[in-house]
Amino acid sequence: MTKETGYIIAGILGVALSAGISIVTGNIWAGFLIAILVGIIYLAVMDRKLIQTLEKSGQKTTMRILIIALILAQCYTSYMVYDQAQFMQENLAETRSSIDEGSSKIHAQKVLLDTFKHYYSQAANRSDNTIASSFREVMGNQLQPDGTLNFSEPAIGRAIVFKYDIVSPDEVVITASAKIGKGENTEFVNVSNETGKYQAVATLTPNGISYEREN
Amino acid sequence: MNEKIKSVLNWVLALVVAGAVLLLIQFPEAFGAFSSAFQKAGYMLADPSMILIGFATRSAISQFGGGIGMEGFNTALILAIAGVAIIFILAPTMMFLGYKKAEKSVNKLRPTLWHLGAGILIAAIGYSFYTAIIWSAEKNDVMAATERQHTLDELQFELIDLYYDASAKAIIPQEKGGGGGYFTNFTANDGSSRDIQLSDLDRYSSESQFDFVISDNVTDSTITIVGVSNLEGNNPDFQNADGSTGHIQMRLTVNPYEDSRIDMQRENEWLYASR
Repeated sequence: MTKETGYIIAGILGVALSAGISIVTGNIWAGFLIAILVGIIYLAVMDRKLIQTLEKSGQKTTMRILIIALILAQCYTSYMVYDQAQFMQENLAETRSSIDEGSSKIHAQKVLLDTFKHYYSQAANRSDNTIASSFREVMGNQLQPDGTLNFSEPAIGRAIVFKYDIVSPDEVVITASAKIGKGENTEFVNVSNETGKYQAVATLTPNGISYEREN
Repeated sequence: MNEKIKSVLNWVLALVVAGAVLLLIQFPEAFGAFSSAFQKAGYMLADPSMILIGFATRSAISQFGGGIGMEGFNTALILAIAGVAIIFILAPTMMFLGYKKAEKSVNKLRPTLWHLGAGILIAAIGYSFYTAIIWSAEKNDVMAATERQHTLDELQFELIDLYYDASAKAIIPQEKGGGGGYFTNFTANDGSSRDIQLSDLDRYSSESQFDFVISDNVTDSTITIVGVSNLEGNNPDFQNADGSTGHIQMRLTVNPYEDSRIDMQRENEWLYASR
């Protein structure tokens, strides 16, 4: 085996081993960036051990210029691409959260507004009229035994879990917990047993509707 | 052949190799059904990070839809790492070995090994710089557009809150501070009736980054709330509801008794330029 073959095998093995870092961490960029670092080390060793042995100084200079340009170009583009990938991932995650926030705001408050209208339309006629009784009457069989709300549109249920809680005769709470959209705190435990997802609470009393984001 | 011509020819051949690599990236459709495979080969030889952005894009879209986002992880990793090995290890060594062989040869035209190595290095340098410069030039525009969209999302959320707050306030009986079923039936300080005002709404904040206005055309069952952003719209002379000009605004009609979807209209935004 020639000296050059030995260097090539060592260099390729070093770069290939970097892939293991990605496999272990699950982060594809970690192994890739380490592989570039190994490549740069290889080029430095190549400069000292191989390029030095070239007879013509012009050839040495040409190789060194190309190697320096290669390192600069690849590091620059890798950084830009990595940065772009992170930005895209964060932006899509934020967009998803926004969609879930908009959807939960509309659906939770719509249910409570329907209840509110019913409550005040019955107020003059029934002595046993409460927010809780109105909520049960309006929602009917949409109230599930496990404490969730069942919407007729399946897309809503795929994205958000709506849990209801009849706190008192005059207070009903709906907690909207996203299945995909992320919240602000990654360690927040949602009512749906997910972790770190968007969650908000809509409350209905005889005084009106409130909506507070919890995560 | 003249020695100078041979020297130039060496670099021309290297540029031909570089050009072939760039053709794989820029015109993959020339390879028909194998276009994707040839383009990936081009990225491996010029800019392996582009293989990872492809994976990252598919991964982010998958996560957006609720998936895990790891499909194609191993393939992308192997191709990208192989690309690094070619660009950083094989190509420079091939070029070096080409020089070494040429030292022992009387022929001034260098070995193919040199042309391949030099060609790949030229492609990797040229394409990477090109990509990085283009992306860094577009970065500010992309970030500004994203920031703008998030601001409009915030405005939309505040309008939705006001929609339900105003609806509830209209329903609440007059003696409890509401409109008793009407937007036109709120009690003024002097005991007379007046239209609903923003100050009636618990969730309205004058501290908001947006300006909100209830349009003059209030009826018993309908009001229109307009939210004005501080973002420049497509028409600088557009008259906003708050008296300012040229800003993007959103218009939302509120009718608690109509069981329809919330219809938010964006005004003075380029996407909705006809409005």
